[in-house]
Amino acid sequence: MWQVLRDNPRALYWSLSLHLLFGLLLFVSIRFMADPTLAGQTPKVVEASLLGDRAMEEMVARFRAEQSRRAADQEPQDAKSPAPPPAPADDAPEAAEATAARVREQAEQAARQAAEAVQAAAAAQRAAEAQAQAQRQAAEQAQREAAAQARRAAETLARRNAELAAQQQAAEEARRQAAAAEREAQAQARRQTEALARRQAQEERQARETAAAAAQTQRQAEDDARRMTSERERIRQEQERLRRIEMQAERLAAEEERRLAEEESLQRIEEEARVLEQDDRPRLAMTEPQRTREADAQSTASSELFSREADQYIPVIRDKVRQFWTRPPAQAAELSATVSLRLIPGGEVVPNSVGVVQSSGNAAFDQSVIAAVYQAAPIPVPSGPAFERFREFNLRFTP
Amino acid sequence: MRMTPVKPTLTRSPGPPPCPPAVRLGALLALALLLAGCAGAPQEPEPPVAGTSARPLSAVPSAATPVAAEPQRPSYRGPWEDPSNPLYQRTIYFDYDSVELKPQYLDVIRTHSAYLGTTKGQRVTLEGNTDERGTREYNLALGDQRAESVRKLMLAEGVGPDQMATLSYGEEKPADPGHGEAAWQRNRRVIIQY
Amino acid sequence: MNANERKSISRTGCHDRGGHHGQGPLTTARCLALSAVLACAALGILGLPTPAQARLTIEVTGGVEAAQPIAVVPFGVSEGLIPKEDVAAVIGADLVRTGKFRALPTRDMMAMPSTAAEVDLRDWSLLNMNSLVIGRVEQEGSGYRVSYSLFDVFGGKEIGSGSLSSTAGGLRSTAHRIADEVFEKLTGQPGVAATRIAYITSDGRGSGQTVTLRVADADGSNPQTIVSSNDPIMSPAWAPDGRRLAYVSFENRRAAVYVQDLASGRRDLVAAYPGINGSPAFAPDGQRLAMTLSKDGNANIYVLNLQTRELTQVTDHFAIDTEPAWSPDGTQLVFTSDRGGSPQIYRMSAAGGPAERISAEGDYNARASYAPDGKSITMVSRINGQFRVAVHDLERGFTKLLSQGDLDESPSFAPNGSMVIYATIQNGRGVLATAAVEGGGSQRLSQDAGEVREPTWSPMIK
Repeated sequence: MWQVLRDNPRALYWSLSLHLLFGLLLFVSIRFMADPTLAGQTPKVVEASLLGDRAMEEMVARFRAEQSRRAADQEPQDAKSPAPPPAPADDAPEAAEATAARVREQAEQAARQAAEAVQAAAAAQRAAEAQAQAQRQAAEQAQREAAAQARRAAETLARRNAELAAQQQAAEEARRQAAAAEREAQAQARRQTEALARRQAQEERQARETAAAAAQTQRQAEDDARRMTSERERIRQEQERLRRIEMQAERLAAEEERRLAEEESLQRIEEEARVLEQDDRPRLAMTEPQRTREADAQSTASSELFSREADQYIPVIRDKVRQFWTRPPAQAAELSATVSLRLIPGGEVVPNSVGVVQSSGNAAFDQSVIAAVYQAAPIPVPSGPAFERFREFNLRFTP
Repeated sequence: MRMTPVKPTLTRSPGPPPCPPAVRLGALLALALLLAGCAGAPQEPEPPVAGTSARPLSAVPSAATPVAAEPQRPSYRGPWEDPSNPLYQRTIYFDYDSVELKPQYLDVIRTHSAYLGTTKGQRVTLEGNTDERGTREYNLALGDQRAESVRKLMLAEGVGPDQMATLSYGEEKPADPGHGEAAWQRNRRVIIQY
Repeated sequence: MNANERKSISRTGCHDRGGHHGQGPLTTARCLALSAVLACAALGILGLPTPAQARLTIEVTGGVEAAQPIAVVPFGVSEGLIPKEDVAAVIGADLVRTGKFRALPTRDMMAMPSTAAEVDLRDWSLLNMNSLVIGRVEQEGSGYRVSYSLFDVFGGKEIGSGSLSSTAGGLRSTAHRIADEVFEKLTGQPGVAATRIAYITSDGRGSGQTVTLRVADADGSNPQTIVSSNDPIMSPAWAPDGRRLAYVSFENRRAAVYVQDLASGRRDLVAAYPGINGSPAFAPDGQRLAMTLSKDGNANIYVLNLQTRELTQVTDHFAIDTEPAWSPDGTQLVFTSDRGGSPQIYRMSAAGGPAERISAEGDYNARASYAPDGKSITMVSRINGQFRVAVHDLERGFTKLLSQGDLDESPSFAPNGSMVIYATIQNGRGVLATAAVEGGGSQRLSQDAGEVREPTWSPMIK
């Protein structure tokens, strides 16, 4: 073997490499099937809303005015009152956060003030005590002086008994007065400490209140922001829906105008034919499309006499109301209900004006009819004098 | 790795084979182990090389217990329970929606008729069944008609009328509860119940 | 617009009504009216009053058939009371099961009023709800008092209310009664949520099989065992007073028909003839029982008088005659017969006589039973090899398929005629299903284990 390998170095290299390769593969494991790892974290969803609405700006301005007013109130007690930073024309939550931070700062300051007040109260109390003590010492001094005077008077006792008595009385008087003065001093000192304590408590309470008010304004700001976004969402959806319906009504009106010309000519021919045929040949198998077309023709014919412009809106109204009508699964298909309704110019339905003129006998059917009218609002109506015909009218529903 | 040019002497000399058997075997073994190592998936169970040798050696009788000459005869209630007896075959099958007796079952019926003809005290119940298609009560009537076909033939073959009763279960007692033609075929039957 | 009209009309299935009946005189009258109007207009247009005085009426036809939206607000409870049942959920499920209503999920409700004073109908009209049900559950002695109010949202007023007393264990059936009252108020039809169904369940296979006849509420809850056996039980049938059940049992290796009193559990063996004893059906007077017997050689229909035990043969034909069902007036019987070569539905007088075939299409029609108004029947029809439940209108002669197949059977009308319950196979197992006759509601009722089959709907519970 070695001979062969020496003779054929390529074989040597191949065998060595193969051995190495197999050895590597045997002792080293390679994962071919690696689990796909998440590339980065999932992004955090941030609820943001766009400003730029006048209402929103007003609200923010209002909030800022309140904020600055409260800051002005606390101005004399603040050593350093931070000026409210200019509100950016951006996210409301950020502004609310800034103001909340500011308010928090001020609350901290108020707390600091309260601490200082406590310290001042303590100092005042000590001063009062010293004062009282000084007063007590003064009283004692007076007392001693009176006693000395009495002793001197005692030397001339024989002569001045009455004076002695009077002097003793005076001394007693003086003692009593001194005691009263001492009591008064003590009372005054006590009153002063009480007043200081009361003021201290009041300041503490004020500090707590400002902190609570700060938290509440913060919460209010958040609520307002949330309500704003949902309001705007709802308004936007409403506008969308209205826009879609308007476009649809316009489209239908255009189609109707186009087809009305054909219908009229066709209908005139049919009327003549029908007038000719209207003897006693029974008309069996009047199919549905013809019946509705006849109904259309009838209502169209009667109104044609009065106003052509308003005519063009009747099929549009009919189609729109039909679109929004979901009726209960019918057992007897001969149900029919008539409702009357009132509109204001523009097509909005006057609230509570939809009433059943002729019931179908089935409460669910009647309900579905009334619901259809409210949901189809605003009804497409003409403007100007042609609107008068649609101020109050009836709708008859048959499945 | 640069290849050195091959010496022309190698091609001419008849020398040892280019891949000695030992190396070949080793390469194959290495390849096999490589594949086994890279599998990653659950390994296949090892071939039961030692399985057969684990079977208990009951074939070799031990010297202590005497071996019985032949197994005990089970007791049957009648010849129809003995698998070796032609009477064991007691089911007659039918086509869909049909009450006709198929020719391949006529022998079965005749066998039983012959037995019953000679054993006057023996009574049977002819149980008619159908597959699950269709309504239940109608199938009850269909099963009854099938049992009736068998009964008429057996009457003609000499079985006494008081020896037979018919009972139709319709689709209520299927032999196979499945929902396909294979199952339905096994359920359309009349059973001669002793 | 014509195309739209035609589309909406075909959606409503006007062709099913066959709108070519009785329209002649109306259209002629309309022609006359139209020409009269035109004539008058042509003659004297100048003196006519201003347009505003002639009230405009616009006709709207078509519309989409759909389940009507209704909100059933979770009922309020008195302080600290936790009722055993969620009354509003039971009511909502009952109304949805009829196929005529769509209930608002609780999570979409913006308010939860429980008294009339708390209701602001604007909340509900915003959600496009047509009707609103609110209520309260209060403790009353050892039981409850449940009161409810039904509002018409767009009409802006209360249109129904009630106050029911309930035992401690009867709260669920009280909820069913309220659902029926609401249903009747809104649709004019009596509700069936408070009725019951009887059905067969089977567990296991072969000799270890257990077959049980059960009675449960119409929504499948509160099942009670009536009789249980290792041998097959079939064909349960309600007596018109809802107090007895007739059924076929194969106990002791023979077929027999029993009539069992539900309250006492006592049962009466009424038929044990040789051969088939099957398909019992109570007459509307509750005194007679029609059934299938084959004692005289082949399957025929007999009527047994339960008082006198007198047996009368009604059909006498060599073909299979089975599955009898009485008309609501008790004068007619429909039954399945293959005298024409394949199973079809026939009708004859209950006293006997000639039979006329009433099923028109298909090569297999069986298991017919009348609707409570007697105007249609439901049956099993085989269409393209699949067994499906169909409803056949006897007056107009057309058939409508209710189920999807392919092994559906045992259809039974609800006692108000608006739904049919039947047995079907789902995932290889037997389950029950209900389908609304009009509209698209349907539901499944299944057991955790084993199979369910042969449902039959009780009469209205009085």
